[in-house]
Amino acid sequence: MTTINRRRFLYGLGGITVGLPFLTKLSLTEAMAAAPTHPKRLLMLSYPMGMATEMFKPSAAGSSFNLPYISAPLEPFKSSCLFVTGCDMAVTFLNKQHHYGHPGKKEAALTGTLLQEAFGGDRSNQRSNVLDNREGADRGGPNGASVCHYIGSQLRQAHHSRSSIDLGINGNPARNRDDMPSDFYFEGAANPVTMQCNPSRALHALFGPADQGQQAQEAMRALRRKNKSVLDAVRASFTDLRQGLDAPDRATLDDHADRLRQIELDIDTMRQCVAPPNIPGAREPDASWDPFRGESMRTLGEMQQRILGHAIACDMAPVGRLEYFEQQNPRFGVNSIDQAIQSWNAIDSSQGWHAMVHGDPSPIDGISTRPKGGGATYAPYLLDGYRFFVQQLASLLQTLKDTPEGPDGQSALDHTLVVMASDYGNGDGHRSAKTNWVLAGNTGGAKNGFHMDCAPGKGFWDASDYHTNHMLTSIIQMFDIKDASGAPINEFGLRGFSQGPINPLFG
Amino acid sequence: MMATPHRQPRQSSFVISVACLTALALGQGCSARLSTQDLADSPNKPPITAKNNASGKENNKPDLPLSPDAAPQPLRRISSDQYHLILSDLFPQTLSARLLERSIFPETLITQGFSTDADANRVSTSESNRIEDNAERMSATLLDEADSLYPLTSDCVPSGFNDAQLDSCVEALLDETFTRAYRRPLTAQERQLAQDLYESVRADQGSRVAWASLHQLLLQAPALLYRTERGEGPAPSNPELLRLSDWEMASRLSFFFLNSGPDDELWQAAERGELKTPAQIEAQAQRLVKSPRAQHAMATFHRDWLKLYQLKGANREGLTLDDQTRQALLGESQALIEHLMAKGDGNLETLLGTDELPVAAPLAQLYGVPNADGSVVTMPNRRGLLSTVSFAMTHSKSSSTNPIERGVFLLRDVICVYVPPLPGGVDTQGPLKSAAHHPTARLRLAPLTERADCKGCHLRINPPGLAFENFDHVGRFREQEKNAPIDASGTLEEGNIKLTFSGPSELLEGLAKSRQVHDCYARQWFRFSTGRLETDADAYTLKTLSDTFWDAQGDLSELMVQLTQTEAFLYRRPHAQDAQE
Repeated sequence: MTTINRRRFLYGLGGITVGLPFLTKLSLTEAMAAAPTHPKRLLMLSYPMGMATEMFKPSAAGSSFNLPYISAPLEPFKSSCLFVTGCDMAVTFLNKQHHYGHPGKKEAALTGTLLQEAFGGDRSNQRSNVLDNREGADRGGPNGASVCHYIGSQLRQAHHSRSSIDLGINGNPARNRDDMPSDFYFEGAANPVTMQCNPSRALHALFGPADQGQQAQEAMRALRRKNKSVLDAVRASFTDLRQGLDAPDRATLDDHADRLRQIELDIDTMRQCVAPPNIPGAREPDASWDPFRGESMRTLGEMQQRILGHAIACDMAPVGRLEYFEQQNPRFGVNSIDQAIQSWNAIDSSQGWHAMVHGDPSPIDGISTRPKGGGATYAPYLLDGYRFFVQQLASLLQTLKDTPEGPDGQSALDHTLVVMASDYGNGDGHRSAKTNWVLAGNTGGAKNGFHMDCAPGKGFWDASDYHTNHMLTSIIQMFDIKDASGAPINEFGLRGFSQGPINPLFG
Repeated sequence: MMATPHRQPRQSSFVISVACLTALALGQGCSARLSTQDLADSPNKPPITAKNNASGKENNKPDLPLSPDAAPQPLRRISSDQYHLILSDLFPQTLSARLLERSIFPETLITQGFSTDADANRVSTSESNRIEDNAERMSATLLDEADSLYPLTSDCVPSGFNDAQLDSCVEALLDETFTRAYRRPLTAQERQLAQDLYESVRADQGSRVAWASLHQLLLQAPALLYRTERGEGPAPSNPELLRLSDWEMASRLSFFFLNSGPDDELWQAAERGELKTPAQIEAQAQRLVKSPRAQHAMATFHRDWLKLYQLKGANREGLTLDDQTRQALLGESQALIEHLMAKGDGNLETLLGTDELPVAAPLAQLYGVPNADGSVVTMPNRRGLLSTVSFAMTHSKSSSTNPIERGVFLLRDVICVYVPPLPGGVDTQGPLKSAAHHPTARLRLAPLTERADCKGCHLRINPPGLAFENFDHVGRFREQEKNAPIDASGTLEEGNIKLTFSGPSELLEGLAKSRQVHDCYARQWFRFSTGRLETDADAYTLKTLSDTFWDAQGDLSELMVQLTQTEAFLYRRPHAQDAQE
């Protein structure tokens, strides 16, 4: 991946020099800053279908371990990584409809709570309301925001033009969607973040015109001027309309108008953060999804990671999120797994990655992809599929490492906590027990180069020592976020369910 | 006309909840119920203040006096259905079809209640962005295809138009399209704002772009998106209530009956100031309810009430739910209503009790009706709306039926009685383990009606839920489960309902004739029309509406019309303190 150099933004590319005051001020601030104790931004990487844990889990707990085949791509960053394995997503055990299968797992992974219809009583995000409604269905969105949304709200500063950068990697060749509602990230109860899967749209939304000639740039500037004029008029319309309404109705309109303000800020930012990255294939303004349909997650992931890296170099937002979509038959861009999916599909179109994750027997040779039911070992292509996501994480870490930030040769990785999460532990049973996490970069005082096994010597059905709500609280504490009284945040997600972080990660 | 309201004090509406919860606290479950007369008036969820009515907490308010009143009406943003219908009404079909094809307007998502609820349409950041993106996208389409589409945006714009002609048509666009979209004449500020926008964009980028920018404003204007109401002058029945302006009333009527903005006749009536008196409003309601569009609104109501929208993303084992099948499922209630209306038999008793159901072709196999083509088929084993495959499928799990959910739904949403949530700390799996091997749901769930800590509620929930066991998880009629005969018989005693039934048909016939079910159905329509839950202040409206509906033999059209005659529909109560700026 091409190195992204902050100076490219400070001094502009191709003679473009707008926005210097903003960026110059930022760089001076940073130059005076000491090496950061706590991260100033959070990057999330999520993907579905868990892991082949045995081939991912570091060989031993503690500081001395080897990385097996799936996690091996992180070897260059081993000293910057904190592996957490065996962490039960115990909140989903509270409602039997959440026990098995897909419902509620992605939603719970980062919100630490269940789907809304699992709640009885006044439906507030309280454990007692779940216990009051054990028959509650596995429907509705999660009953709270995800941890990254909360952290973003705490970290956002005046120079951040947006609260987050949200990019999707759509691995489904058939799905014709630019933007998709996230399965993992929520800004409130049942309110999914929209993930932009079209790199062209992402590029233009974040940076405006590509560096592709005077005419195209002028067209984009004109478009922005028009959009801003319209938005000004819309916002003025809100002001007009609220006159004479009751206070609660005015508040409803004001809330909507405040959200429009974000769109205006985005338009302003395009002027400030200068040159967009040169990403072949993601250049046409307002390009449709079609050019990207059928592209592999590898290709799309590289494009989206470059865009995200560029936005980080601009310090555009305190939170960045990547989400890899598609759990049935993604196109990975990795020969072994892509060919296997194709072969399986040729015999039975209902088969594919999803069935492989389950450990189903191959329709070709009848051998399971996992060491069970006739399989002696793991199918190499299954491991390659899982390894792909770790490679994506390694690639993101490299991008951050290559992005200078702060004094003394520091990089963006020194200022950023990166978290990789999924919905299941071992993917075969589609269960949320014993999930695996990787944290990397600035872990805010928590250990680095460390493997925390939350269920040492325990079987799959044994309760682990810590669960994901502890994990989410740990992530918050890595940012040193305090409550109004100055005390550390000690609980996240479902209220009344868990207290404190995973203590051994700290100190 | 509306029946004379009963003005005696209301019975103890909330006693059931208090008693039940108290009983629960005493370890008696729900078995310690009060008399049937107390139950007859019990609401769906006991506390009926807007904030806490879903809480299930006790509410021991004294009897409420019945006097003309209405609760404050929260500001509502239009639903995605309404947005699209407004665009369809606003522009010629060629243009609206092109715009709707490009629409990314955020869909109104609900998990309970109605798509018209104020809460269901509160805007989030992503929805706000989508609304803005949608307006930009639609206006870009207009600009890209200006030569063919601009003449469709206003009669004033001729084919082969030039910039000067566009400039001269701005006033016409504001007078016609904007005014219709805003559902009232523009204020001076709104007019000036639009003119200023046009002028500034025109000066920068020319008339064509400016014309598109006006539409970009229109398509996300708060006056389009929000149903603002201010009211004017005191209501005759209660000086604390305000009459609505003619324009506001035109919108209330049109959204209720048409799910869209006012039609021509409503528009003209508002212009003439003829939407002031209850009689004027009733005359419009009588006209609107005969519109085919009113049946669409009825279908929306039933889709939401029965939670059929859940079928949009659902999967059921053993069934391929392709787009056609989903469409047929979602269209079942509308097809039945259209059939009943065409027969002149549009009443609740028939809707819930008829054995004649239209069967769409994609559902032929599920109904066991080969060669079905949408025609009506007489089916001895089914009775009305709650026996359709769409209802049975909605209230099932992916591979099995869900008798408990079916039972709870029937009690809470069809009979409107309170069913408390499961008490905390109860092990739901433990009691069922010993019975898991049984072939039928009745036997598998039997421990719940035997154990002291479960039976208080499950003696109420299980009988109506198990009555539907003759319909499997995709709605097929069956008489056996795992080769064992299904016993769908039972008794239901809730309020003034006392039914002994041998299966779903007898149960549904009984419910179809029940006064309590009629009252509940009217209550659901009240929620649908107001977009909010009832509060104490709505007691008068609900009482008069229920009486009228019952007196009208459950006539669906009459219910809609008489809803427009209630205090809650005719007037608005300003919010308490700081009401006006």
